[in-house]
Amino acid sequence: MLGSVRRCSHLAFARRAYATLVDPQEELRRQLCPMPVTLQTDAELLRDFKLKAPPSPPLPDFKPFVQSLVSVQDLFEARVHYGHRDGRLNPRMKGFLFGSRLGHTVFDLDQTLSLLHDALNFTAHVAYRQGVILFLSRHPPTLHLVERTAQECGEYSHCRRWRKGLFTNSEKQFGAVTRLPDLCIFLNTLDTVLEDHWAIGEAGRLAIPTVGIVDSDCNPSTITYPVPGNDDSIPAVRLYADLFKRTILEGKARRTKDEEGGKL
Amino acid sequence: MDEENAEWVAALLALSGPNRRKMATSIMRKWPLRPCPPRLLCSSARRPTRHPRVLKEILARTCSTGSEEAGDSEIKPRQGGFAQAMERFSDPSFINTPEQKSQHAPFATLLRNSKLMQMGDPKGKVVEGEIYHVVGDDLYVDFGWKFPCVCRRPAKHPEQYVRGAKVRLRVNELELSTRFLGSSKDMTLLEADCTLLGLVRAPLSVGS
Repeated sequence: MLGSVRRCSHLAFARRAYATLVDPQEELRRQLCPMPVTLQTDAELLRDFKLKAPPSPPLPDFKPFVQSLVSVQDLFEARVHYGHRDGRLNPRMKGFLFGSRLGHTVFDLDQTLSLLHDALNFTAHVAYRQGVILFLSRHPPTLHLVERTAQECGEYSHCRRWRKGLFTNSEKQFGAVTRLPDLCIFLNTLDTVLEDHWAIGEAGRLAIPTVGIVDSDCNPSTITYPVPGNDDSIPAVRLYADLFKRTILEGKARRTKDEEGGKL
Repeated sequence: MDEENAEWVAALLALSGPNRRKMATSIMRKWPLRPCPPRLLCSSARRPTRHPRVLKEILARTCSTGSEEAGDSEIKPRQGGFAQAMERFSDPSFINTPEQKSQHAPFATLLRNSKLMQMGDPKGKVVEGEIYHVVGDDLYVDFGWKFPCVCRRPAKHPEQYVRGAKVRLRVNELELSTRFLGSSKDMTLLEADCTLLGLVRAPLSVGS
């Protein structure tokens, strides 16, 4: 009979991992006279960490590229400024509105543009660092468009019914060890008109950054890079899909170029 | 004779008799050209000039390529009001995008000049839409708003109401949403409510 395998406890594993990372003398000193944790000490630790950290190669700047991709005129023509009725307004979206015209909300495209630039810039950086990007949407008219976009830029999409625990309980759900996405792009943050997409909460729990197009009836508070705009019109979704695709392809192209050029 | 003068002389020779004489004497005397009625001078040389180089430029510009340029800018038959309007309104760029000139206009300007503002109260307004999807007898029509509207195929000429057809609609509601008892937010159907008035143009592949 085989002896039972001695399973390590989580604590032992963590302790071992920690021990390999720190300097033993430093560790001993810390254990003998532990430093009280205050904001002052945190700041000092951060400063020391920054000084000791090895100089990293300068990150590429995607902001000029992203700013040349889209303008207020493009957003306007794609009907991005149209919002829902006043009665469907989520109070957290009030700050993003230009106003309301005869009961229909209108987004402030100047704000939308700058937030969209931030979101696209972040996406480009994630693509540059070879992150896994997942497109999510539960809007049936644009389902095929989103899936095709993900395919064209070599990333992933999940536009069908979301099973709870796909992120938080991924090993059981998929039956194997899974790599979770490094970025989730929501082209529509609502599941039905009554509920938010469940993946927003799951991504938040696992510290996966999210980019989301939030309409006037959506909740932007748990999304890392919210982009206020219309998510119901096909021209608008087509524009977003095209922008994200081009950004991801640019990020990947620059990575290849830097690797070949020997910068990495 | 210098090369520089040669072309000048050639341009001078190209002028008709009285003009040539006039030009030649004024150049030789280096006097400014006296203001003359347009038919005696090159059309762009209205203002009196002193410097012969400027004169040369004027000659080169107006007389080298012939009289097309001279004639085109000045001698144009003055169009009547209707003709002018006809020209302006049949220009496709005017019909499609009247805001083309405002490339870098701020959002407030774009919104102020948009059809949404010009329309006013949407109830009862007639708009043109395009059928982009058909499911059985249901036509999904996009008329430039956030939501499409879904209309039933009419009994008259049903074969012409296909994808790509342009139809006329009367708007009843821009969004079918209402507050139900007990909820804090409106419930929406994510579509507009319009009445189908008729066909504007069927796609070319459909026989009339």
